[in-house]
Amino acid sequence: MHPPRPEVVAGALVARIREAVAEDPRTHAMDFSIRVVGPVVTIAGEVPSEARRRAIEDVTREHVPIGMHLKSELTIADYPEPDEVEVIE
Amino acid sequence: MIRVAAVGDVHVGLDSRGRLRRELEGVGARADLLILPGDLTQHGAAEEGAVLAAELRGVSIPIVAVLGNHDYHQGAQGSIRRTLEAIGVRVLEGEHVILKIAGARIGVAGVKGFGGGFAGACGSEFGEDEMKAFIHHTKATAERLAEALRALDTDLRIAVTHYAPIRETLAGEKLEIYPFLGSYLLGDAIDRASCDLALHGHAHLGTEKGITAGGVPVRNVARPVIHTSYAVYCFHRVGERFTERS
Repeated sequence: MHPPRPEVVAGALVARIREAVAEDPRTHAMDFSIRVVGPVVTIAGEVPSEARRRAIEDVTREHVPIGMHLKSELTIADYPEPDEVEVIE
Repeated sequence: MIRVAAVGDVHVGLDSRGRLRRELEGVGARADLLILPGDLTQHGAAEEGAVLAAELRGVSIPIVAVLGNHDYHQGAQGSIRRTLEAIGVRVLEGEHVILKIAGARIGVAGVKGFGGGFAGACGSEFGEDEMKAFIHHTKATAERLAEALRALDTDLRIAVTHYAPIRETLAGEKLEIYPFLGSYLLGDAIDRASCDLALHGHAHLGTEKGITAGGVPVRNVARPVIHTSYAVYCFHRVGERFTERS
């Protein structure tokens, strides 16, 4: 039996992390990206607060296998008031 | 002229105090009505509803909302709704509201909606009980939206859903999850009512602008999509639109 291809293993890890962060009561977060390249799990995207960033990082870290490490590229979103108005005809 | 502000997926949590209030500080000067298409809380907790209500209390214009899937997560959607209604927010689930603004009658009808997919790639009410229940729920919710829109004998007719009524405003999301993001049945209900605007949220990685098969402008106002604290849509010829539709 052949071992699973690296991309299959990476895909399974992404799925596991995504499920965990979506369902964990500390986070319930879904709109961030997860990439696995070699031993590095990278999460990226915008979050509304420092508390939410820490929570997502903490839950993700709990699911990163031994021998791999987490890199967070999560940034705090800034939502200014709009400059423009769209006219609907 | 009628100006409609809208923002979805604000996801207020216990850690959010003060933020949404700051973001909405200028909305009363820039718009006549604020619409919130769901995912108002992060975890669907009753306590988050209380934080949300405190954040919205200072908004000086009418607020109309639907709830989203996050708001249902802990089964506290009734409590969240009551907390918002206590501060004057109109929460719609198969209901409508008619507002008199700048001499015009503005009608808004809304439902949370549900999934099921879009024409050519959608589920059907067949098979296991769980699958039939999924699609039946979407059909029922779309019919409630249609009925609420039929009641809008108004100068302007706006539909609000959390789930998407068309696939175009999902562009950017993974295709595989489109059936969990909305349903063409919502779009059909919006087209049958000849709405002037349809607003939705839910799809954070989607696209702002789209149009139904019947020509109704659709806007995905999920906050990560519009990337501003709210969007503003302006209608100039409100009275004439009603005459044209009649």
